Amino acid sequence: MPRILKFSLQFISRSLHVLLGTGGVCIYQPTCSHYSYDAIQHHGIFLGSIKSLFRILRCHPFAKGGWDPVTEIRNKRTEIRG
Amino acid sequence: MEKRTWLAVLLMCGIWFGYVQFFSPIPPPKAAAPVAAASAEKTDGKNEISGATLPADSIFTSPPSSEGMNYSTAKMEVSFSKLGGKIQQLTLKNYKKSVAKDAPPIELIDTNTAYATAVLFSNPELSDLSKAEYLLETKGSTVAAETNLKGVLFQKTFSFSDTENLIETEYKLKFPTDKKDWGYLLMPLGMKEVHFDRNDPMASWEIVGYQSEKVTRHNIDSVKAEDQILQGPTGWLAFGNKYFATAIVTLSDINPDIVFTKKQNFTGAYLRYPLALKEGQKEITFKTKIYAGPKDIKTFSQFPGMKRLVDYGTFEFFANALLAILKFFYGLVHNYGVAIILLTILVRVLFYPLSVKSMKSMKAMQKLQPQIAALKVKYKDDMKKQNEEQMALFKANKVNPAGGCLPMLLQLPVFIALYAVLGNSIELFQAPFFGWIKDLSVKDPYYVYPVLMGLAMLWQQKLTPAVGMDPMQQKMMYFMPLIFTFMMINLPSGLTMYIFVSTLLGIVQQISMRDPKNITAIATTK
Repeated sequence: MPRILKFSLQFISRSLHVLLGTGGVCIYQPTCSHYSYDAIQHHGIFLGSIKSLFRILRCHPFAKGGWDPVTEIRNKRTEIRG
Repeated sequence: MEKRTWLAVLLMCGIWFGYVQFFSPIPPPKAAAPVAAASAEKTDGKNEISGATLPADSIFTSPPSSEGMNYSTAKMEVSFSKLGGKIQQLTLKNYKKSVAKDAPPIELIDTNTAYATAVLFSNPELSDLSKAEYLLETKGSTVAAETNLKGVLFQKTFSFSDTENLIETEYKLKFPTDKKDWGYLLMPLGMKEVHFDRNDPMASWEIVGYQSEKVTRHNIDSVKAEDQILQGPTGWLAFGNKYFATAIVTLSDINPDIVFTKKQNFTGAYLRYPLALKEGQKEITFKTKIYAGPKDIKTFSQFPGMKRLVDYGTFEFFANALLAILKFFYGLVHNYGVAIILLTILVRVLFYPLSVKSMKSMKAMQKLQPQIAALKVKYKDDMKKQNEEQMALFKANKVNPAGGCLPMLLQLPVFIALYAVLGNSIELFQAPFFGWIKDLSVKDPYYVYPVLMGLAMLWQQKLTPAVGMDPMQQKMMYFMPLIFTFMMINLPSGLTMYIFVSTLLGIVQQISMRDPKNITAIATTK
């Protein structure tokens, strides 16, 4: 399940980046798709999805961006991706 | 890992295909089955409001049709029935059922929907008025119908217009006695035999009421057997498919209720006017305007709330804006296909600064990839520190990872709204492009655009570096164009054309921006 979830999120993210024509550079670390993965893993599908939604809403040109993990505990498995 | 990933892809493909297979295309057409006889009509007679009972089922018998007279305007051809004194057939002169040359004109009122101008009465003493023989007469642009039933005189006038699809109606009743409560006068809209097909724009019938500034809409197949009574200031009641509608706009001082109902021979709704006379009053008049024609926003703007008869869904605001832009371009080029291409360019131009910014930073970031990798190793146990260092590195090299996902996602409502515009606007109805595209509002008959769109996406994907994905995952991603092609195979050709052109413009933009040095960099970075 986790792999399927991870892949699905990556797939959606990649589709959107390609379809909507942005290169795929995120202002946040971890990236939105990765954040969603962590959030859903950590908080379950419902709360995780809501957290992900708010993350996407935070991800705009006027935001500072930067380090924004779901929880500090899960830092280690978070890698940097574009 | 590989096996599982393949499994995931298969699963996702399965879901898409399943979706396309079972939800998207046309299900086997249901034979226009008659509504189940005598289904759960137990509530009748119990919902007593102001002392009068609800009309009995029996008054909703199939409306009689007979010889009568015809009336024709620049917009419509109308046939009146002598029995019932009502319109039994109404065809639109300027619209055809299909793009074929010899296609018949659109019929808005026919034997199955002939309730449109039938006036029914809940009081058994008056109910024969809807079947009685009327005297029909034409006076100028007005058709008058008159009958006398046991002393009750019923006069109807239908005034036509040559410039609009409107019929002004007046119903006048004169009573011989002093009786005050005559029950209700009903103006129904709906069908005798329910026929509904979500995937056929011409058979996606819905019944829509506007009351207290609120729109209530039901697909004709989901109207419940139990009456739904809406009370409040009523604006209009309409029955129509995606592109055409018949609507009754109320004009009287007497305010009707809206009742959605499903009877053995009638499914739809009716306006319910109380037939209550004051002391000494022997005459009562009801006035309406009947609209029968295309669902044209411009015409509808003259009636309150009527614009919303065109169902653009959640992103109504975007849809109206897009339609206005499309119409503007159409005014310049007189082809909706070209107008869609111009719209695509406009959207691309609006998002241009953003995508240039993000592409530039993407490229700059790629140059820094080795240094980022070094940082990863150096601070592999402290993500926070690693990120800080990375941001410092970006700053030092003037990389600005601006943008973010939100502006990108803002394009999605535009897509969805465009879908709604293409699938629901009379302007796009049977609007041709060049060559094989005879109607931009339906699917591409030879699937050329969905396939071109898939190929363009594939190209675009090759150009867009997938930073941080392993080669296996990157390969997986090549399923994306395929999935999109199948997902959109039945969508309006105007929409697949939009995505195709948009992707093509993205490719042009991307190629024009890359400098020769970067090509190898992109190709070699994972």
